[in-house]
Amino acid sequence: MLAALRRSQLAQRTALLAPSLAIIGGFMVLPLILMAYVSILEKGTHGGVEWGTYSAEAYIKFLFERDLMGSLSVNADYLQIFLRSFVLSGVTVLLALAIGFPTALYIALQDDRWYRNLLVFMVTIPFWTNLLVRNYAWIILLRNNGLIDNAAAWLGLTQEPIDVLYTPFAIGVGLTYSFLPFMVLPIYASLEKLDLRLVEAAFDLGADRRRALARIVVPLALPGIIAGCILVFVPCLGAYVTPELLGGSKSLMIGNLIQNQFGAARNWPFGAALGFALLAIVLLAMMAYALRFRRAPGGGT
Amino acid sequence: MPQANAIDIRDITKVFGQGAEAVHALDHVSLAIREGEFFTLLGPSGCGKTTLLRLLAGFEQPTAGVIGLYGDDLAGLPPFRRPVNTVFQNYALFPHMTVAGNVAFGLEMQRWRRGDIERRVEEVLSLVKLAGYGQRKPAQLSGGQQQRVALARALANRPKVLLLDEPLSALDLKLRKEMQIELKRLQVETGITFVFVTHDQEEALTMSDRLAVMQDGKVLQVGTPAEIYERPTRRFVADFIGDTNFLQGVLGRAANGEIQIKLDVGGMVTTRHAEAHTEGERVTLAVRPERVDLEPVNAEAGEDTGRLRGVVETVVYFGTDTSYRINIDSLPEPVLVRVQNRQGAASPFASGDSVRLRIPPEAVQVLVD
Repeated sequence: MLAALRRSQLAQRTALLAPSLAIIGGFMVLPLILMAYVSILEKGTHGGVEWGTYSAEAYIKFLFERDLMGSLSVNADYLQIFLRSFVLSGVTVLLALAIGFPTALYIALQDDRWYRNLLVFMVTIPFWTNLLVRNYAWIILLRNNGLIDNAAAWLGLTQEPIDVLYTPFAIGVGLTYSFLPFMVLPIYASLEKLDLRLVEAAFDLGADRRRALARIVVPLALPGIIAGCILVFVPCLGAYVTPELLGGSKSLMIGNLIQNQFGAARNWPFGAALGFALLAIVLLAMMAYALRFRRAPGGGT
Repeated sequence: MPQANAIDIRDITKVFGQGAEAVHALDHVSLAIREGEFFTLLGPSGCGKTTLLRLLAGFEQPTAGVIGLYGDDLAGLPPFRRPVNTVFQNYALFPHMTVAGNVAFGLEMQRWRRGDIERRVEEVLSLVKLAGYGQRKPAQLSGGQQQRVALARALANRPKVLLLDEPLSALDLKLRKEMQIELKRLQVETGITFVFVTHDQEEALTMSDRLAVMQDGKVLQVGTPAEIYERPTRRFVADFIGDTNFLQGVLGRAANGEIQIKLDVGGMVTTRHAEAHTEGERVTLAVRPERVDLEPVNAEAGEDTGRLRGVVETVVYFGTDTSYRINIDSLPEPVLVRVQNRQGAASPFASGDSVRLRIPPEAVQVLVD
């Protein structure tokens, strides 16, 4: 009886999981395996790969340069692009956190449930517009002779054109704007569950607003803050459209570099290898963080 | 006895909302709470007692009126600048901190030195009998232990006044009785003024030095537990605290310090206190069940004043006493009478017996309204 029950539970569980397993397996695991395979093949002369000819060239190319004589020398160009991507993503996370946390806190503190839901809805409104359109909008705002440039000149704040478009700064602005909702929503979700009586208790015990925030609100919203940071950081690393449109040729990010290999550079194995390097770095960073966070006292709930 | 007033509440009104939806949570409340006393705000939910406590803590600001703490006006002072601490109804312990961290929080906010904090935390935890529990998390403690942590945390700062918002309501009966004794002990030991909010009349009677009975945002009566129980001035107070029989009558003439009252159900009783009323006025009387004596109807009794005739409806044995419900003609509800049991004696009356109720003058309390 019990065994039969257990078996039916197992069947039910399998049935429930099957669709998502099929999709993840068919559209993620298989392509990943294919990508890993491509990354160790010889590149084709006109794009594509030479099936059956293996080579570690793609991974060597990431760190070294081969001169005409065939000897290797260290080449930090690609590492620099990786580094730039990480720094830009990190800055974006900090900006999004600086803007997103107060926003989420403000929304969570509203008494009127209807008004609160309206604000949450407004945070998600940018999603209703295409990402490309939103980035083109930023071009119009940021370019010389654009809205911001003209306004600053009219107010007498600047004498020269601002020259902001096609810089890492413009990418930072665009990324922060694009991914801000991913920061606000998880933080709001954890702040909304926060028992406001705990804040009252902190006030009662002599904490002013700043210390109540630092000692009570932020620690209790930490799961949401971490989730928000990850949700912003990871897609930022792989961002393609924003650096393509708002960054110049001098501020490539990983996403553009990878796209380049499959497009203009016609080096599929290298593109696949770059993709894998990114995946590996992100996974290692997340694992390190997860381990650290689980061991930290008081964390993890 | 302590003399000074710890808290002076003068003509406080608190209105929530505006216009047609405005709710008067407190309506011209005035109270004086003395230094070092255990003062209870007693009333049903929605009577404004918790609002009053939140005004004292500073979580709400009064719409009108003044709150003084040892003579200082508290108006506009935020909660973190008030020398009062609160024990919250559901404890509101910080879940991400240890017990010691919770207790130390207030001291850290006062910028105490680390060593002093550790010493004080240990001292307070042993005061609430939780020594050695410092490193646990609140979630690892039972309800009663969490209650003690909340107390320790609030006491650690040596507040001038401790505010307690129904702190025992989440505990089961046995634990609640224990904590009642514990709270009283802590109050005596620390000498801190306690302002205690509860809807439990028994709790209020057993623990308080004085209490205020509240209803619909108003304070109806303030006094010692004995005063409140023995001499309720309002029908609500008499009804809310303990069991009470209400009788209607007309006030008669005063003679020899006793005033006669002609009851609507027939018969007369006398009372010694009816200062707020004049001869000929219709009044309501409150009579406690245990102050009434029962006599067999055939007994040779003297004059009929203070006696009513009735028929026993039910008899319920309670161990220490026996409770009778007695039907009296023309009275819509039976009168409750409680008689203390003597050892080995069975109830002298059974259901259906005719009895006489003797209501002595000291049992009759004339209500103001």
